[in-house]
Amino acid sequence: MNVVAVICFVFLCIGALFTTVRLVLGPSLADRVVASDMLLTFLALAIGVQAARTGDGLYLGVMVVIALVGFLGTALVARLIERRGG
Amino acid sequence: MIGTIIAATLLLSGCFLAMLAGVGILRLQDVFGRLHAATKPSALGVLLVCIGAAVVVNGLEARTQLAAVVLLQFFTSPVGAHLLGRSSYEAGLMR
Repeated sequence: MNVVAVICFVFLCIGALFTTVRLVLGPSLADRVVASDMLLTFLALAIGVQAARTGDGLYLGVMVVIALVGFLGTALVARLIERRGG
Repeated sequence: MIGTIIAATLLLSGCFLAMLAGVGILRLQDVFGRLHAATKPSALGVLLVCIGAAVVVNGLEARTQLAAVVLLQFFTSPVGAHLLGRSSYEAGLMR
């Protein structure tokens, strides 16, 4: 299980690295919001992998909170783009 | 033992899907392609990772929280992508 968790963390780190490149480059505000929402998803996935590695769900409440807060941020910035443009 | 194998397969495939979502966010051309890459593979990845963690984790509370995460992701991810896609279409980001 430890080896599997390390391989999963490597996958997540590669994906988060690509997403961070898009977050820095992204030409419009919507690109950056998509990238930051995806970074929160990577964090939630890492918490899930860690819970599977250790076998106790100590930090799973953080995962629930991340799933909620990511949606709130996306919805608010969508309103901002609608009002202000690109 | 068989539970560990099932959980390892689910965790590996979920994390691989999330990595593919990151590649798609970097490589696709406009906002709508990046929304497509950020919404669908990551939702399936969260589902797979949560099922895989629920196989091996201890306790009913942890499994309930994982189910809540899956439900929240599957309700909020399409709604957020729709809001962002509509507002960026109206802002003229379509090429």
